[in-house]
Amino acid sequence: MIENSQQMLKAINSIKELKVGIILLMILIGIAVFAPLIATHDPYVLNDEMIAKPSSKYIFGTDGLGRDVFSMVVYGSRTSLKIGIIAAAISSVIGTLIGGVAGYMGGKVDKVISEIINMFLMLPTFFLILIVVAIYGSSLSNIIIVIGLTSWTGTARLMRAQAISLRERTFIKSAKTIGESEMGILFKHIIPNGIFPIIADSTMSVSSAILSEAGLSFIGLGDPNVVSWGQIIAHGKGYLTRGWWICTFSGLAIVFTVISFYLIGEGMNHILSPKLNKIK
Amino acid sequence: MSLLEINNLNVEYRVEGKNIKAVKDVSLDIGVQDSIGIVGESGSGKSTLAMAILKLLPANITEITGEIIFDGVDLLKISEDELRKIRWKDIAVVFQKSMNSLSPVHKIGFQMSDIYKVHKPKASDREVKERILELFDLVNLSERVFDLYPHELSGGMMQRVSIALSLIYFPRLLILDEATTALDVVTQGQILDEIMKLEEKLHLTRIMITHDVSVVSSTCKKVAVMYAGCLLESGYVSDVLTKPKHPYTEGLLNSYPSLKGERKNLRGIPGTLPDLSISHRGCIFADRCKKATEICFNEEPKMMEFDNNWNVACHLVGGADCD
Amino acid sequence: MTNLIRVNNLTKWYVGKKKKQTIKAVDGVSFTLEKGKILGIIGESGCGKSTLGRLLVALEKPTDGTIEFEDQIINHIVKQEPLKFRRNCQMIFQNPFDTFDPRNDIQKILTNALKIHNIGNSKEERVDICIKAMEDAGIKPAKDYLHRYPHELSGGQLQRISIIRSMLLKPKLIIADEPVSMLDVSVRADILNVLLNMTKEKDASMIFISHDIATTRYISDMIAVMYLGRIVEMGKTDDIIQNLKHPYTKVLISNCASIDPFEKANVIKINGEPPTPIDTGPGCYFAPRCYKACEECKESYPPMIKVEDGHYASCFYLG
Repeated sequence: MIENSQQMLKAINSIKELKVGIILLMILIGIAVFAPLIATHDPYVLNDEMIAKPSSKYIFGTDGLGRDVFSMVVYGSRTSLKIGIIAAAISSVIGTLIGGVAGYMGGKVDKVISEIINMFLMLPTFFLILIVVAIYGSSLSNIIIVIGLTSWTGTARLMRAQAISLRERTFIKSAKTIGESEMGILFKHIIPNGIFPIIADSTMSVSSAILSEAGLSFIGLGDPNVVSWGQIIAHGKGYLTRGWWICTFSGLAIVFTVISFYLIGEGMNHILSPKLNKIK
Repeated sequence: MSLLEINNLNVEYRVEGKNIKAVKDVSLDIGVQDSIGIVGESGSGKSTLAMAILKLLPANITEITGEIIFDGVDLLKISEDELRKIRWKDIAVVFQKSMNSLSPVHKIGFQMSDIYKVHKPKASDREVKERILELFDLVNLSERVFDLYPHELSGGMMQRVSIALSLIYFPRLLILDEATTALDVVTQGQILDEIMKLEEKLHLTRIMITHDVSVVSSTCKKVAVMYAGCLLESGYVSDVLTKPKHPYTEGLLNSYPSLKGERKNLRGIPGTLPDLSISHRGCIFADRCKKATEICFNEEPKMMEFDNNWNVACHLVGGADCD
Repeated sequence: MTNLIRVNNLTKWYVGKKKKQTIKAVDGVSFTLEKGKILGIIGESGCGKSTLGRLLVALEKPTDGTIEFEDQIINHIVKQEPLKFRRNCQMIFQNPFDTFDPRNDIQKILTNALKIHNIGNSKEERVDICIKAMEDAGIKPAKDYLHRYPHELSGGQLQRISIIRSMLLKPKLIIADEPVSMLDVSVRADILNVLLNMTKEKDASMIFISHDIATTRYISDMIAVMYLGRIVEMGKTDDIIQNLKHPYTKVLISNCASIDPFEKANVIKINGEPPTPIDTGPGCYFAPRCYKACEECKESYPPMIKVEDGHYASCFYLG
């Protein structure tokens, strides 16, 4: 076990993208966790100075209602991380299970599930999200759940491909002859051995979940009770000329986050390729 | 007169910070029309040796020292251009899974013509086809193979195509690297037979690289036994494979069950291959040798020559510490 | 009834999707095997021996015919008591490097097998059982190997672990599918001896599948020769090797080169390559390549005839 984590650290260090990505992520998590200590003001408080320029008091300036943009961006990181990670987790779990079952079972089960995957792929997910939010309300949990329930198809296809190639391996046949049940093989052997590219893929899902939420907020369907970067931008679009800092800094925050997850995903893919060469 | 003289050849791979000594100080002389089998198990370095002769090893991770003198020319010292002239014209190779060395989307005839024109770019199409059909005849392939794709051929036919390819310029030295290992025993017998006939006809000198001693005993005149990168014993097949001097050769031969006679207790060689990235003291086989004595663990045995071109590297043979 | 396993007219046909060709991998195989005996199945590629192995261990379902284990049809046992079947019938695979999940260490691999079958009451007890089994099979000191991963071991060691794992379940039948083909020659003897000892000690039966006749001869009590999905000759090992009757068996054995350079083999040459079992003709399947084939051979398939006690062959030229 210790050997494995040491190996992991070595691997992380050796790939630039991964190193940078993880450092950026650490910064992000740090900001989210220590938000109360970092933020200068309460993000909800409407201060007297409205559309104030960035200064030493209001580091990123204030918005049209007098809220400190810096504090909003800092607290917004919590929302984004929450959304990104939970939604990506939901979609990854669903995708892995569905794809794993389809790939491993094969035959009719695979045909049926593949058709379901195709159906989901055809759905215009953003509109589906819009409809759900319009019907069930725009609370953060609704948004997270609906994003998670609609973006699992990519993971499912990946896992299915992995399962199809893994099920012909000798160690799977050998597990069968030892007496392992089908579910046992799926969860103990197929999924753990096929999971690596999915982890890389999930990091990309985090970015896309964050962007989806930003999009929703931008058109006003976000949760009004939480601070989110998308909402800041939505609010700021009316002040583009007078208060450029409102959209800019929150936009940069989104870019920063998306880049960090993208780098992590890329870095993990890099590990995957040389690893494939190392294993016989 | 030696056709190929290998002197103190060392091949080291640099992988992941480790230096793996694949071939250690190997010296071998191969005379004209001396068919020799290089025998060894996994990790013995036999394939590396074959690849080194034609300089087919990846240059950035291998370090080769020593001499490989072919007909008076040291192959390790000449330039890539000069080597290219020798490759395939004078020395050719047949690999194990030939399916992988041919393009799957071109017909056999097309590919062979292509290769022929590498060295003879001005040859006419008719001349090339004539030559190829001549080669097919030599290796017992029917003419229709000219228009087939690789996936339409069976394993045996593919190997025959590979052999035909290797003979395209009637080279003087032919290296067969596990060329019949993936074939069925009947097909293997057919192809080995054909190879021996070709050797006669074309005055070929043949090096067979294999892990299967029976292939060497039935088709080669001489044999060289390799283990973990070192050459342990070499000589005529009639000597080495009947009265082996080196304990490894003896152990290896005892590992083969026979079809005739008593079903005696089969004994292999206990232990496992040593780590090739660590330098060893003493004989490389000492750890697994039941006859090993103190000197075996401390001093590396030198290759000693006996009658009849018989070379053995073992302290216990030839009175190293006996008299 | 000392017959541990009885195979009746076992058939496995694959239908190709594109060309609608039927590949008759196993085409009517019948034999019995007694308790404690070792049956060797030899043949070249395409003869169906590997498919037969997979059918015997229920990795695939037969198209026709039955396999009876202790007088029960295995399809039923697998449905009703799958764990019991798995305990009784184990397989050793050809590729030791891929037999185990690369993410598990040896301890996990072995104790997992025990856990599935509820052997041992606690983790410590299971580990102890494994250590004892490893040391009995010659892996000493066992504790050194428990936390190693498959990629750190050699082929011989891995195959040994594979045998140990199967034996932990105390099987009555072991199917060994080319267990030593991928191992170095000097290591094979060890593994063969481990297999032999384990089966003799525990009174288990074994079906040893191989293309290497000399190895099969060493380990088997009886031999069956397969060609294109059918058994062409079967009998006690010594009878088959010395008193062989079927032309294909003769060709096969004569083509085995020995390591003795002075042994002059009388190699029987035949043309062509081992075909795939598609469109196997109305007559004897070997007729197209047989050096003795006549008209009758091409018209009807020769029945299996008794040559001597326990020795059968299907050819029109017997006796």
